[in-house]
Amino acid sequence: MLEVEQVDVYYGNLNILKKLSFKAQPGEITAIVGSNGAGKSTILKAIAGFVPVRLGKISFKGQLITAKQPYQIVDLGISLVDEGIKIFPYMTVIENLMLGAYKKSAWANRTDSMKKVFHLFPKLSERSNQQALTLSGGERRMLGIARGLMSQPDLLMFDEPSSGLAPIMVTAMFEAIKNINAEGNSILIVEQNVWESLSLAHAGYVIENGKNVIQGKGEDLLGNDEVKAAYLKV
Amino acid sequence: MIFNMTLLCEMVSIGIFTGAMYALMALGFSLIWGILNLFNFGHGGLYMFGAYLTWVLVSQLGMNLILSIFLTFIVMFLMGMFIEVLLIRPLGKYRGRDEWMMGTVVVTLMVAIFFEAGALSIFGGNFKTLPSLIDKVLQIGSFRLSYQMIISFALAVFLIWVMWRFLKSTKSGLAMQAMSQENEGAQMVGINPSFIYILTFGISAAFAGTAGSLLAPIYNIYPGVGWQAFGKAFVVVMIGGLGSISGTIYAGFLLGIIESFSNIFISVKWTPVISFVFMIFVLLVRPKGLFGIKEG
Repeated sequence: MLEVEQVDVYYGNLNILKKLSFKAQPGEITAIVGSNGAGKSTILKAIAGFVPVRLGKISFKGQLITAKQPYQIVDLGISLVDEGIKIFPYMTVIENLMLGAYKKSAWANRTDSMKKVFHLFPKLSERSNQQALTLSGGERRMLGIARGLMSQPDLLMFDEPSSGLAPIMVTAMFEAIKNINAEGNSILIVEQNVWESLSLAHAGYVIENGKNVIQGKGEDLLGNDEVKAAYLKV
Repeated sequence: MIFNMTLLCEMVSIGIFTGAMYALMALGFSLIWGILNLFNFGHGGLYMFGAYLTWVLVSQLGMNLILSIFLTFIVMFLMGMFIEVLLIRPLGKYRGRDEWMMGTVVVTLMVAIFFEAGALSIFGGNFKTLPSLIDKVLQIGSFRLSYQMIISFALAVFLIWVMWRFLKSTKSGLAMQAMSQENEGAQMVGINPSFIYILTFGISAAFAGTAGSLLAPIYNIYPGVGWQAFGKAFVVVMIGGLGSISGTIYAGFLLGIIESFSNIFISVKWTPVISFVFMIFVLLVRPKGLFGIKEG
């Protein structure tokens, strides 16, 4: 579904991603894991069109998307979810969600999508008429995810979904991701939390300093000695 | 100064009238600043263009005033879109960097100067005037208010109301608000920034030009008239606060009334000073303006 091939991304002269390659298959949870500074956030930003790709190709459903603009990539069916920082602060929860369904194909279904999303996140429906900036950090994160779901994406990308969360919330977050995937959504997550992500993932890619290191099925990687030694403090 | 009811009523009416005009002038300026992060030095030029365009349509082509105002709105909307695509879009790659500020200031200033020079050479520097649609004056007791002011006021309020409904209840209007509040987030939900920028500029130019149009039969028209409008728009936006449409509207009316009182109780000569002092006072107490959201 999503194919990233030999992608090089630079910030100025700094080479962040080096010949990075991976695939995300439909219906699966694909996890890209690595320690801080490995370039993980950059990957999603590059796919979403916010950061230019110097070399390599990114294709989605057979179409080349490497040079496309962010809104075009949303139209093609990819939705990016961050920690809830990019929500619209002075608009209500409902307005934020409605805008999540901005893209043409999703707009017509926005009422249904909103019902589904409120079912998934009851807390949000309690706050539906509140301004987004009055929400707590955790609620904003939920709003970010809900807003991403409103566009009825073919691929939902999570940028470090567990970052800054308390342990109980981390479990809840990964539980939510599992449920979203169970509903049929394809998911790509980029994470520092190697254990939880690989436990969940169908396909896992470990990266280090912007480069591929090892890949395989999530559960296989968890049993891999190198991975264990480097990331799982075993 | 003898206090009397008639004077008070006239003062308040003129204040509200002027306020509506200020709100109309300032709305477009506020939208461009909030959504495109652009300080549009050409805003006054657009106001002036609208005034002259209406003057030409009415006094040279014999068109009905209301029709002229309507036509001016449409022409100015298109002009705004053209200016965005031809002059502002090419600077897009500098967004977020120092060159953006410099570039847009230079370009919009160029537009202002070009329009003013153009008006001067085509029309000359003499004041132009337009006849009112209805020459009569409303009279209740000794209270007098020109019908032309009422008509212009009604149209201005109508436009402001339409803008408000557009921003709050339409998909594009919400998208404009989103872009103003969180540019990257807006792109993350699939909003095309170029489309919003063009729409915003079109609306802004249309409102600026129509403000000039509505005031054409009331005040004098001359090539430099845009700078006054620009100055007022700036003060209103600063008082009302950046990023808040309702703030801009309230501030417009507030400024109109304050100036009206200042004109009567102090003197017309001091009013510009009073306005600035008031603005500075507001900014000292609330740096983001009365209802402000973004940093100026």
